[in-house]
Amino acid sequence: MSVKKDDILSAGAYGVGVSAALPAFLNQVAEDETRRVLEGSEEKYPNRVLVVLELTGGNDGLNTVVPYGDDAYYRARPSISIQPGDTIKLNEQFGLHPAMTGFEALFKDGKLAIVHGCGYPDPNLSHFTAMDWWHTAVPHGNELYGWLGRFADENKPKPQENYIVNIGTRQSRAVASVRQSPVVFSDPKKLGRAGTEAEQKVFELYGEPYRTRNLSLEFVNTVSRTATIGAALVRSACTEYRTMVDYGADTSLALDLKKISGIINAGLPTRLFYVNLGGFDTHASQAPSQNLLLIYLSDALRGFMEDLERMGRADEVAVMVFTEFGRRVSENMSKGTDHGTATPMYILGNKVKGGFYGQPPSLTDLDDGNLKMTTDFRSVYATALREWMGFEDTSGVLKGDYTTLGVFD
Amino acid sequence: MKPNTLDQTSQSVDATGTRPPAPLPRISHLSADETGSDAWTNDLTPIGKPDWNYARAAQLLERAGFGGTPEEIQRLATMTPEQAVDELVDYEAIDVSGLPEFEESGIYPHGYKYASILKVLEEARTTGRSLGVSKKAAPPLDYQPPVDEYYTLLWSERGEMRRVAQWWAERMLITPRPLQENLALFWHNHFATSQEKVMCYGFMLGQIETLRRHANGNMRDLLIAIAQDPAMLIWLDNKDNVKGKPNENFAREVMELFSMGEGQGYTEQDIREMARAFTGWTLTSDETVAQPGRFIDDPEKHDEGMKSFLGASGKFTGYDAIDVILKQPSPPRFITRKLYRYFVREDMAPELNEQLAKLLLECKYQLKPLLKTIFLSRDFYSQRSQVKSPVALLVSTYRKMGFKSIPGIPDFNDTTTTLGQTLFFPPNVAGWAGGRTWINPATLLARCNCIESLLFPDAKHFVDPHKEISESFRRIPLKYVDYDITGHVWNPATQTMEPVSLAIYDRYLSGMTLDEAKQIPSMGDAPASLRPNPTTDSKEPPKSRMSAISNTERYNLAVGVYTGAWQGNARVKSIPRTLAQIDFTEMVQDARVETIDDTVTYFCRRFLSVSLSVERYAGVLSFLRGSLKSDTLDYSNPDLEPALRRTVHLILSAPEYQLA
Repeated sequence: MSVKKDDILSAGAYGVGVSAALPAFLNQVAEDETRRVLEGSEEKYPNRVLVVLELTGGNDGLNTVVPYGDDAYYRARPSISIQPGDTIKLNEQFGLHPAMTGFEALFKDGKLAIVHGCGYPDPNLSHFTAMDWWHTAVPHGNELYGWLGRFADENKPKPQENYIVNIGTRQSRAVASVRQSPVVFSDPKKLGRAGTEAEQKVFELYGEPYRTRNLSLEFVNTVSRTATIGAALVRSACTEYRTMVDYGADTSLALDLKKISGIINAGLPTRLFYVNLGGFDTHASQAPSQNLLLIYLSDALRGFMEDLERMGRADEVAVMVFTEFGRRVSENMSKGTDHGTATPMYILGNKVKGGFYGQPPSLTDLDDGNLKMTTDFRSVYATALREWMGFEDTSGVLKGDYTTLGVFD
Repeated sequence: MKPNTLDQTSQSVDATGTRPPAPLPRISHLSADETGSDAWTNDLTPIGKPDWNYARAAQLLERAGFGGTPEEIQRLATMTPEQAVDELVDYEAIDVSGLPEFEESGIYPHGYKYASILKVLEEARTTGRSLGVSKKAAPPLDYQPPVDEYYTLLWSERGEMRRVAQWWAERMLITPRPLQENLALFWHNHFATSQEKVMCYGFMLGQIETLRRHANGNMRDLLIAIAQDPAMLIWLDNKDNVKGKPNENFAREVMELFSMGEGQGYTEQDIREMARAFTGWTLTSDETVAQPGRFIDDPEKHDEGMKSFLGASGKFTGYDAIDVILKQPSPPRFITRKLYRYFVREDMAPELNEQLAKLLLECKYQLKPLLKTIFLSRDFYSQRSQVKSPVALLVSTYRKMGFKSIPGIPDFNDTTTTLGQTLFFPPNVAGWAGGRTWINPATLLARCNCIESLLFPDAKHFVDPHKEISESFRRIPLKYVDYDITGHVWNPATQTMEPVSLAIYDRYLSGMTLDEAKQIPSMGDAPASLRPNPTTDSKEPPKSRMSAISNTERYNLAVGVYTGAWQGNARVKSIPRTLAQIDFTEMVQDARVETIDDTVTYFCRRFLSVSLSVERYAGVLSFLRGSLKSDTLDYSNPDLEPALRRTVHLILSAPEYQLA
């Protein structure tokens, strides 16, 4: 398929506009592709989709899922704690940050599972290292590929265009895969090569890899193939998607989740989505920034779930939310919090059995001022892969055996 | 010789590699990647004079110094390899006094630099004045002037930083010491500091000058200089690292990211102790232009007690900490591996790493011998598999084209940002991951499209990003009609932000150009949809909810954001939006090219390090044949230049072009 230069350049710097004739054709391709993928599949749940949302920077879990029933919390945080009266109470001990009305609605509908105290032994407090370990699911290791990438390699050994979509300006290590080439993008309009009709013929050649001993060239050629074939489908799916559902403010997360909705709506064979929301490194004046971020987070996810419901796909999508670490129990001198350890994870979806999972960590029995983890995050990963995606043997992907939590029916 | 399909690396050296590039008597060579040899992999033996040729000189200049024109490559090719490497590395001998200094816009007209909004509001409350601006006598919006100034500073800091980046890119392009700029870029990534937090373009500029000064010098001097650098003191909080209240951020990163590597022989305890050694290395107050912040070693704030880290104990200072670090076994390995990854290959063989680490240690952390060994080694010339960074991709493209300035369209910063790299804004303290992570489907397509924007610039639809107010900001006045503020639109003719009525502004937002928007007679001030509903009671003027709020507000951040955006833009000097002056016809004519086959070959050789596959080469050739309907070049054909441009566009869009 070809894209005209005028279309491409009309949308901005090097943005891409899609000509009106394209959609029907592309949707047909998408449909065929989907059917081809589904037929002959022996997967238990061949239609299920997992969306992983990364909260970058280390979200303060204690001010998100507030232990309002515990005095130790208020002693540790004289100036930045959420007062009991402000908390959205979920049970006798825990409540949500007042900004999270979106999560409140999901929790009351039984669609939100909160897993207490997630972490791993011997935690690292560096953003990069901690995030790397969550991405690879191999703490204290030097694993090259991501846990979602390894899952894709085993679940879908044959390269499949658009199997993994990573929305963001950079590819996350979490989706680094041997066999699949994730489509990574932030602005879908830019997923195309500008040029004349005649040039498009040569561009098609650029989408055809050839044998070479130059491994870097082989790599670029493989990416070029994905860019040429897969990206066009993603582009039209995202740019043509319209919804009336309210995702809250037009934040990067809301816009990114709408792109995911577009791709799901177009019926592309994407099974794994990766997306992030940044800004959680709240060392100073935490309250106003975390307040906004939690509004963005919970409004956008509630909107996303509603939109999936609208398109009739809500039973096929689950969202898992994580951050690289929580923050120290005590507040610091700048009305903020420093890097900490264990923190809740969240799983959302129609098929989720809502409620709390795992043991809440003690706020007084600490490790150098930090929470002791109670749930290994790889148990949550195992839950997503085994219970949700129906992938039975996760020991290879997760490099160990982890019990699942019974979050899904 | 035709392009090869199976093997990009192992062909034997072709004698044509030594041939001067222009004029080419008979072009029979596509590009230079065939010069590599598997036998040379991991071989640190210096390349011999007999093996030195045009292709290898091209590789040296490409990787060490952003590439160059055939003439520049040829000059290096006629030297011995040692001479060529010495000239690049011992660059002090080359005069750079002719390079232009950065021209300041003067973004601090009130004499005050950026400060946090909380501080501004507090000052305005207690003194009635902040950032050199007085608040108004009474509400509503009495705090608005300092708030507007705050956002104006925020915005102009960003704009001026972009100008510094543009200036630096131009320096990379025109400097006669390309390795110095490339090393400064390397260290900018190594000591990755971002304007995002520093919020002072002058400090960021100063840091690059520090990096440039020590770029090929001694690692110890460099570490001390960076530890005392104002931007770094802000970036990693050492300015707040004081006796009794240590801040560990710098101590952690100086080991993890700057010298030893994550997990390479230090503990959390070492970090806590070392932080105490750096206490007192701080920055003087940085509020006014008259008295900008500078580094001081404040004895009052220094913890003079005993410290124990990395197996050493003493009443250590910051200098001692750096010396103790450099006595560890990991820094020489870490630094050589990182340099090797930047200049040679992603994965360095452990034996090679040991060998070069030993060399760096023997030379007491002098970098020049290490750099020379790397650039002379056979391994350096053994393969063509380095992925070009976005900045290197653009600068080297421009150098190969022979440009003498960075084109204004496409915008340099916008382009590299789209490709994943914004100078002075590394993604985090670990810098850009680099290597293959530069390439994903979106960035690969963007790499093609930026070449399109360069060769076929669309000046008519170009929106100056240094002047543009983003969509979300532009909508603010429409939401806040009641705040008596005026829409501003960038006028390309006058190069200023021009105040316009909201009716014109609304039409501008709907996609019209400023001229078009002005031509329609005014229909009233605000768009109907945003105006308050007319009430039946005509005595009472219609009031929206917003106007009720605006009567009681002391300041409004959204209005501040908007005002700051256009005022800040106006405060920053414009970047000239010149188009690239390219004449491909002249290039091939000078090279005495006659056939289309030779034309494609010439451009492949001029631009590519890795040659195209047979199929792709044939595709490009058949494109040119189709465009010209001929197998030979007719220099009088007016369609020749556009056809050549498209041909170069195709070659520079190839996956092969991403590698060096």
